[in-house]
Amino acid sequence: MRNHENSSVEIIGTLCATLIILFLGIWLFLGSTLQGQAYTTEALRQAELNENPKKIKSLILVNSDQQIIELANLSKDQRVYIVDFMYTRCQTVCLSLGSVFQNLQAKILAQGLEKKIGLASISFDPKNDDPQALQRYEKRMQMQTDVWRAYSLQDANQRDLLLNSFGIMVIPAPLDEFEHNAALHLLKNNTLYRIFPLDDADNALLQAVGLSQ
Amino acid sequence: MIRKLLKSDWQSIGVFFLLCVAVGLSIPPFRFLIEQSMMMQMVIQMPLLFIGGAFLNHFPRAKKITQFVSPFNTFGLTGFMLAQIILIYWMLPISIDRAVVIPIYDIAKVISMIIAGFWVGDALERSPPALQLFFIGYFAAMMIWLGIYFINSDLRLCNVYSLSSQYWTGYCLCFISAAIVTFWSFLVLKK
Repeated sequence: MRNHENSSVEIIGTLCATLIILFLGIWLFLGSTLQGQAYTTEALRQAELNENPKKIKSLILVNSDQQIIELANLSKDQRVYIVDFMYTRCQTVCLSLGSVFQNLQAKILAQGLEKKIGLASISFDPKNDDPQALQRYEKRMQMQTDVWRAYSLQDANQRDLLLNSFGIMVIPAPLDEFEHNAALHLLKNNTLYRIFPLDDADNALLQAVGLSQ
Repeated sequence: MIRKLLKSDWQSIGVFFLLCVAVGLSIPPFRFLIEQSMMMQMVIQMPLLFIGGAFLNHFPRAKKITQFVSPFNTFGLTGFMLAQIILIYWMLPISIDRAVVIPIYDIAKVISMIIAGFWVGDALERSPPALQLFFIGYFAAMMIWLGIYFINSDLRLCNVYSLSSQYWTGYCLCFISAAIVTFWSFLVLKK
């Protein structure tokens, strides 16, 4: 009899302990995934921006005409910029990124949005990407420079600042290439408003138009 | 169940060595290995920590701890639940990224994986096979699903690892799940 009582007390104790652990686990889960919205770092980066847009630190860029432009002044013309990150030697993901941007460029021109929306491809490989390399890239991608331009950092030491302020992680890949989280960043007046995955370019354009008004 | 596999002091030295290797992968001279390859982290380091934790059970001091909480751990249910939560947490791509980028998460990973292994090792001795089947079967199914997702996904789920690393990790996770189920069936049938 005594044995029986003991075991039922133990079972209740165990169930309580299990439930406490389960609830702590659920709390830990929700806390670390932004209430279940983000299971990947990339999703977290996008979801966090939806709540508060982020000011970007001042970065000095250079374009293919060797003009030096501060990132803050990039959208001084009141355009909303759709920004991506690349390096001009890239053969893999940047090509699909390039074609996404080419489609965007075509749509912007077709809809006459070039006064409202600009495209910017910023290199995170300033050591190799000088203005000449940018020029070759602009040719290869058939950029219409009043819509879409390529930029590199003037000061290679600002590379980490660039990557950290946008939340880009670059890892080395075989054949001297890089892999990075490619996405479309909506930038207006030095503030990063939204980030869209590459396959959501139409939506990004729509949001950019909304943001420009 | 696992305690029977350990018979001599040499085997305790083996456990100690195993844990040293697993923890060592998180410390600078060898840390680049888990920073570069998802396989090193998910297929080598995490299972080693878990197995090391499971074998820690063998030591008399560990026995005292498990005895002490046994009133709240009937059939090892609490231990299984704790381990399940820890293992699921470290399956999330966001957690894997954090373990590589943020040191405090890496420390938490090492400690919690050893704890998970420890309590599963204990729970295997207390629980009836049906309960074991539930937790192990559920875990294996989840890991196979994750593995297949890793293999088929064109998206890089972890920002710190390459797509090819993710692909091969997917295959290894499926293999590990199959190995766990086989090993467990073997232990049960041997009884």
